[in-house]
Amino acid sequence: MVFEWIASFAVNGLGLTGRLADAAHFWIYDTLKIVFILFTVILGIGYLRTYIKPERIRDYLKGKHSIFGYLGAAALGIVSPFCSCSTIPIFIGFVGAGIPFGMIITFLFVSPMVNEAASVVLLGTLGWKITLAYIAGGVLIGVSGGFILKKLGFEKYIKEFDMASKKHIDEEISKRQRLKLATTEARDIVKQILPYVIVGVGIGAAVHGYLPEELITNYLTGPLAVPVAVLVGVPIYTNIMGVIPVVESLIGKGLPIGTSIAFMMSVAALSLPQFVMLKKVMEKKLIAAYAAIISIGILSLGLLFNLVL
Amino acid sequence: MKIEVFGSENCKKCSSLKQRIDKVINESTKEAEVNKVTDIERMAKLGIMSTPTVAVDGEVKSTGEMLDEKGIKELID
Repeated sequence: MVFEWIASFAVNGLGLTGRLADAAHFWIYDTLKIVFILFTVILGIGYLRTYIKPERIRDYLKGKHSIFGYLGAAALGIVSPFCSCSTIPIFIGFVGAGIPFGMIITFLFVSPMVNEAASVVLLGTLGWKITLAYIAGGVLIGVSGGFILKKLGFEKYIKEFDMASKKHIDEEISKRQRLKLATTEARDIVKQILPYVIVGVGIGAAVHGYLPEELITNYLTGPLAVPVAVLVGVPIYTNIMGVIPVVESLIGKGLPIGTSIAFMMSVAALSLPQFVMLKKVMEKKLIAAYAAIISIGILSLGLLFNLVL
Repeated sequence: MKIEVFGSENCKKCSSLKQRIDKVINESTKEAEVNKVTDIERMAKLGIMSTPTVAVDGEVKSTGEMLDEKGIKELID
């Protein structure tokens, strides 16, 4: 591939050898690959998203009570935009439209945990097995979490809003305009995420070139490693794109897949800024239950995947 | 003219769109007050579900789109 060639050319050109050459090759190659995949995927999804507006999904989910409603909410959570800041307006829109509470919560669970571009980057770096585990695991936690909180009667902890719920009318825009919107979005998002990718791949490269394998196989392969991974992951607030290359290197050094996925998900799914945002739309008890279900869910997934994968 | 850009506090896209609108206004002959609005209750009242959303004189003109300079010009003309 052309990125492989560029990375080798740069490493040879700089006259690097040994571990440093290995690390530098990893850094250049992975940064180029991830940025390329990101741009392509965001462009594609951004284009499709001009057809699937949240208002339209809201109209679709209204009155749905079946498992399809839950899966639909989870699917929307996956394709919802990168910035967690857009989750809250969608959430309020759903509440105002009278969409069943369990589905709204499912959306809120899946949205930060599973990300469509991250899925494609995972597919390109770590293969289909891990990608599938990541998506299915996130959807499973989301759907069951939504269902559990509904059964436990947590609906009363959502704050009330005076919400305008207009039926969505699609504006007629041309394919060319849609492509233009998607290109602007892809360019802006990639620009925003780039620093995270560069730093993340840098850390990944250091792990790849210098971290002794024995350190992982001796200390991070037992069942206790999963809770430790979640505990370390939760306070870290960064973009998931910065975490994937680190996880890629750690798996290469022998870190079990379940532990890796648990770490990756906990970094993305729970964060202080997110709680501050949620505080505006729900009471503390619901936030605590939400955080507890995500943590326990990720922990169980990690342990399960370590057993079966 | 009053232009409002709706979005949460940590929505970087919304802040960059506001800056872009400021730039277009400064380079044009139009007079406008541009504000970023983070009030969730107001967003709810206007039925805003996608950010950034731009409203001109209280009327929602664009939702969930990162407008470029040309798009902004069309919006304020």
